[in-house]
Amino acid sequence: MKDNKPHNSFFTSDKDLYLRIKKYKDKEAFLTAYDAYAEDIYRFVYFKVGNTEDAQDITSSVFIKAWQLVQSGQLKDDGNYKGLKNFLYKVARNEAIDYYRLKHSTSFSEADIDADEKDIEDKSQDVFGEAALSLDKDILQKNLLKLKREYRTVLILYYINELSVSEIANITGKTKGSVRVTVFRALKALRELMEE
Amino acid sequence: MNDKELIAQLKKMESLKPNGEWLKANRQVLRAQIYNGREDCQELGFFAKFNLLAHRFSQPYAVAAIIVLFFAGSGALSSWMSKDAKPGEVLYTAKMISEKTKYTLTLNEDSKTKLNVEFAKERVDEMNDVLKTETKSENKVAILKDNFKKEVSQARERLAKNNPVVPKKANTPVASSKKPAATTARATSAAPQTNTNASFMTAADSKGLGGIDISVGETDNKKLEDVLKKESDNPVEILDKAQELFEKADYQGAKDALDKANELIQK
Repeated sequence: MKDNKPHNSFFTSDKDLYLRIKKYKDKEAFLTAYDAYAEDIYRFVYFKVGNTEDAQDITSSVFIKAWQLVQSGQLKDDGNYKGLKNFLYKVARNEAIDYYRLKHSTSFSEADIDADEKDIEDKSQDVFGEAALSLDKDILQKNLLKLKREYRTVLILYYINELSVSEIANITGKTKGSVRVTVFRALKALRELMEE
Repeated sequence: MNDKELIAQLKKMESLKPNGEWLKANRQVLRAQIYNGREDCQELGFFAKFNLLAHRFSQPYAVAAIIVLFFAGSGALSSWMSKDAKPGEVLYTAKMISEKTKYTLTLNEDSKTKLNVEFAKERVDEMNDVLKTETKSENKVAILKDNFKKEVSQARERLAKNNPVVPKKANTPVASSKKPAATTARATSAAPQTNTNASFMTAADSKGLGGIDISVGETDNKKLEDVLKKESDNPVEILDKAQELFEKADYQGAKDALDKANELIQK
């Protein structure tokens, strides 16, 4: 069956992958992108929702949704090959917001939280309390999950998934300056929690 | 806990990974989903692959590599084509540039000296060609003489610089040639032999040249050749002889002298 023929041997750089997915909607290339980014996306989602089952469900739906968007030509060319990674993070962020809406029947979005400078504690953290504590870095995880989502998002993206300020700005729709300030404030807030 | 420690701990969170089995199973699910979708995968055809290749080769690093390869290739080609060029021909300039490039790219001082000698030999060959094939060749002959002198002079200077005890130039070649060269560095370093007279007699004997009387009934060129044969251990003086022979239009003799000088330099 010709569709099963792997294309991985032909061009393997991120740039080629991006071009193959965007221009040719290459399915094998998309599966290669899954291999490359699934762990990062899962980690990003995990720290957003706080439990393994939901993180797995959301990660699955992120890639399916992303493929649908690729097929409908919505993988935007933002001028560089990192567009694919940014695109996946954006889809993941939206999927996480949808998850909050469904799970808690709330109407807030990250944009609403961003507008609110008050340190709103994420209620969903209660769900994962035990799982988080079972991990080696339980205290840090627990405190990380106590942060408001905006802070948590930038800390995960910047320090754990090691994205650049530009990439985070692209994903979150903020300016680079705003991202830098948020990272600084988030780190300060986390330190204060750790010192309590 | 300071920021640095906190950041270090955050970075350790990278070790949080999804279950491997789930990751594989999810890949299978994703694969099934996307292959059962409404659009078939577009197999990369010839033009798609060509486009991707074209895209790759339009990148700055690829363009730079192509330019470097182009110049290196054209340089090698022109060097090869201009190998037998004579003065006045279009490719002769390319030959000169190629020689200069080779000279500039050579870092070792001894190798540079050898190159000077090689280029001087080239000038001798060119002189032979010019005199054989052309009638109005005064200008070319003058250029070749000048170039020959430059090469020999550079080789001599480099030898003197690298080996200060080598005598720079013999003003009276025939007379001075009889002086023992026992003070030269080469003789010293070569040397189990300290008696130079004995050494060149041995060398001459081995070639069947012993007993040549240079003072009676010989031409100047013959004398020079004899001296050349006897003074087999001093490249500077042999270069002087080569120049003298060249000026006296004994081109074969000059070439032999240059060969001998090259052998000595290589040692």
